[in-house]
Amino acid sequence: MNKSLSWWRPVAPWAISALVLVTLPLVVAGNGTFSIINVVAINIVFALSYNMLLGQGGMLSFGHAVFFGLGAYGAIHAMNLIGEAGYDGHGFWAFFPVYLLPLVGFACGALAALVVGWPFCRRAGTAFAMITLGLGELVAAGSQMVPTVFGGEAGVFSNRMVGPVWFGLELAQPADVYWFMAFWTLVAVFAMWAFTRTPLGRMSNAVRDNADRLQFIGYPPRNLRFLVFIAAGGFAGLGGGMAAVNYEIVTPESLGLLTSGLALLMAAVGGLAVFYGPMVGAILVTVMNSLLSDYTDASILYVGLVFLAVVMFAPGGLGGGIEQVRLAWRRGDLGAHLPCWLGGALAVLLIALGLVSTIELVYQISHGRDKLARLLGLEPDPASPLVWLGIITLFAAGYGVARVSGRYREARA
Amino acid sequence: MLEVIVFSTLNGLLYGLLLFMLSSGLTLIFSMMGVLNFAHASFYMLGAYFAYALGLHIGFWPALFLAPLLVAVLGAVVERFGLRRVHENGHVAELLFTFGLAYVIDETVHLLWGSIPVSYSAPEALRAPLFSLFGTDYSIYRGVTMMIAILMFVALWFLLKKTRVGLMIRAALTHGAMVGHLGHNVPRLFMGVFAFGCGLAALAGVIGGPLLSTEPGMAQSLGPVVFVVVVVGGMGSLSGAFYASLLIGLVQTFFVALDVSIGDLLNGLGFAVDPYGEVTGITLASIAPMTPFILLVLILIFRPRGLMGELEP
Amino acid sequence: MSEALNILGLKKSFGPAEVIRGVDLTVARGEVHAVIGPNGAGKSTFFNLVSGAFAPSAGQVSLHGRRIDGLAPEKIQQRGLARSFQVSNVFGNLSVFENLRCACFKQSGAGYAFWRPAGSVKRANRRAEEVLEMIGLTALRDSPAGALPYASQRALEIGMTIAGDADVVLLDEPTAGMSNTETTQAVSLIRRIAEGHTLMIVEHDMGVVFELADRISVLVYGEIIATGTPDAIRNDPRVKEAYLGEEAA
Repeated sequence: MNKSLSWWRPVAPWAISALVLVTLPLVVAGNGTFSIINVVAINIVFALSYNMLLGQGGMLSFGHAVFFGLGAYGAIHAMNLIGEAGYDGHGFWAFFPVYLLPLVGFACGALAALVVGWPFCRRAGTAFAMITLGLGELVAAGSQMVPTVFGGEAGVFSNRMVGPVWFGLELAQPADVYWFMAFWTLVAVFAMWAFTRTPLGRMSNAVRDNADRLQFIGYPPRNLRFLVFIAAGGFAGLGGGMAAVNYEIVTPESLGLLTSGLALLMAAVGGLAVFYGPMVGAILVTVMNSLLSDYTDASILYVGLVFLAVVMFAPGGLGGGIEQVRLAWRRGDLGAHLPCWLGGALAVLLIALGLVSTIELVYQISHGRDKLARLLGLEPDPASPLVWLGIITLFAAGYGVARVSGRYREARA
Repeated sequence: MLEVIVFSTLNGLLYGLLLFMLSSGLTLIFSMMGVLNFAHASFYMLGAYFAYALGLHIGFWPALFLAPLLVAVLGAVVERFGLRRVHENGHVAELLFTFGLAYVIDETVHLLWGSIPVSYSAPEALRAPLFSLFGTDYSIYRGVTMMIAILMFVALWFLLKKTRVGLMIRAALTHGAMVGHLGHNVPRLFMGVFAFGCGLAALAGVIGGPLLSTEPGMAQSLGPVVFVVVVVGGMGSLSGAFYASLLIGLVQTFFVALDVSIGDLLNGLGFAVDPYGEVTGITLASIAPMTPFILLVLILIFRPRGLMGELEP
Repeated sequence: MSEALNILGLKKSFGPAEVIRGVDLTVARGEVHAVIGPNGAGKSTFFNLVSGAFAPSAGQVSLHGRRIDGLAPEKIQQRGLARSFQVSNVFGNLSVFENLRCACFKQSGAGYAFWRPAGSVKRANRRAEEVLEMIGLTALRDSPAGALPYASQRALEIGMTIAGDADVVLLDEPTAGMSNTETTQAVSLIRRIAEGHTLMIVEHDMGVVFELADRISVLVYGEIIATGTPDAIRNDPRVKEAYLGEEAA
């Protein structure tokens, strides 16, 4: 590598990210697109905070949404306080701008983790997974019983157009909210990245790799887990605070198992072992969720299948894949790997096409309509054997390509 | 009052026994393979739906036998081509796999059978009352369900304690590697146990479907409770799962039957509080769905190895 | 006060089985003290008791005159007693350097720090580099520890044990499973460590033991049957009968 460029290395990802964030509004338009981008931003923070637990600290949690949701509730109640304080114009909240609400979310998430976390962090592994699952169910069910705090089924509403406005930045349209999201995402991602570089961040990797050894270099593993748990809870709460500002409503659903599962899904699809993996996962899963649901009723099924495929065939996730390509490029043998990787990609594509066709056809049979096929201008007839023959051909071709590229790899090795 | 107690006990036992049918399979799979099968309740749901779909064509009784068999075959396929593949990546990967599987099964059921409950019910003859108490009927079907569950417990116990396969399974629990060295085909044993466990879950679905309701949310509502049973009973302990199931079944049913608020309780204990306040006005009945999880958190904090378990999870 | 480690009447039972049956042992400051004994004599259990992995059933362990028995392993480590493991026990996904640095944070006063980058903890970085050099893994600095060859992993294991500034170091079979050349390297590493540390070693390789040890204790069926210089041990009839004789036969 060129020596004069060495200062550029660590700065480059941040500079490029900032550049992308600034130019994004110039290339995209429409409130719909901004809405999706804003959700992506929230999910990036949420998924990364989840990975502080699972990927960095080795703690598989099924209750991470509790901290996301409590952060969101804290922020939305604060938003209401700002609104009320606006009438008489004095008190602490009258001077608190809505832009800073993610900080309230952070405080609520971290506080909640601080309060409940200690007994949970005694062990990692299955015990931790189960106790966080229990916590999630408990909080989600319990929240229904205290409607003044959680708003019952309907949740708590608010209005983000309140309080002091700085630099004339109003949060009216999704496009306005974009800047708010971009700022906080950058801050949160940087903070979480910096965390991995601190002694505590490094020790959290150590506790993941080998908790027993840790005791003999002077650490009780529980202390480390607990601190990581609080930090992860705080950043989840920060994401919750962003969500509160974005949606102006928080429902008890945000505390439940489905939301926790979403974090796990995004982090695992993106890759647990690479810092930016969960960000990639958050982008993919969020975009898939919001785009596909317009075209097919099976969108959740597709997300589930993608997840399953990643767990089975690419345990490193998308981030792991990107890292492999990057390493090969730096080593200079990308060309040697490429045919085999492209073959694999082609096989995945063919099999995926076959699977999508099957699902949509089955769906058409059982429900009598199919949005995705119509979108593509197709009128497939599920009764025609030709259609099914085509699908079988897709599967067979995918399998064949996979076999051939597998052989090629073996032959080279 | 007596009426409430008698019927809560009967219903609690019934619910507990159903829970046991579900959790026995999960316990078996966990203790053998170390895999907490997140999709277990999804196999239970598949059992109910398969029985419903088959029952439309071949009648209730044949479907009762065929549906669990089909699900068991499906379980074997899942083990052979899915779980075995991720096994080498460790327990977290396995847990993630079953988590994704649960997603996929639940959504497939959504797609195939829609999001409203299907009308899967017991045959007319079984819905007749078995006996009447305090003017309320108790149907034959409920009696039959209890009987099947108890038979299952006995059969399972017999299978584990008295047969060669059971001996092998118990040996594999404690000395997994050794059983392999003795020339037994451990992967095939795993596949068999996984299939068997899924079949048990499906049986619970076939029988429980008409009692609870057969709808696409049934896996999600019962799944976490089944985990609670397994953890509270002690990971891998069949008798622990049995007692935990009954405990949770009874506690939950009794809470539902109690139309008393927290405030009433506190007043009864001599604390003067407003029985209609926001928190104090919460009735025990509305806490009922939370009781398993309260139990879970308490157990994991105070007795991590569960009621009958030997090892901490 | 020249005793680094003083062990008195140490006992441990697992259920009805008494594995350590009253061990008395003194390790002088600065000496290399080897514990030998046939398989199943309880050497590993003995190490686990001293380092805090198990709590003893009875007896005392004192480090520089302060009782440490019954303390948690991390407390014992912080008081200056560290141990290595028979089976390599490193942080597999972290680099060699990171493994060493993690073993230094606590003693560098940055144990749980999340407000400063790890690179700014000067003392930990310096110490990690020092140990890296000492164990001869400078060339493998950035390799993940889990991917190291066996002998390097054993060296790293020892490195992590000494990195935390403990002055009493317990090494559990440091040369187990090594080839002759690897053993020679390990012995010279241990000799370098012995300067400035008090060492207690469990070892099977008699060549290594007699080469390194100032004094040797022989543990048989949970009891110390003899303690003395290598020469004294070599000529002790009880030891010959219980241990060396066994090998000669």
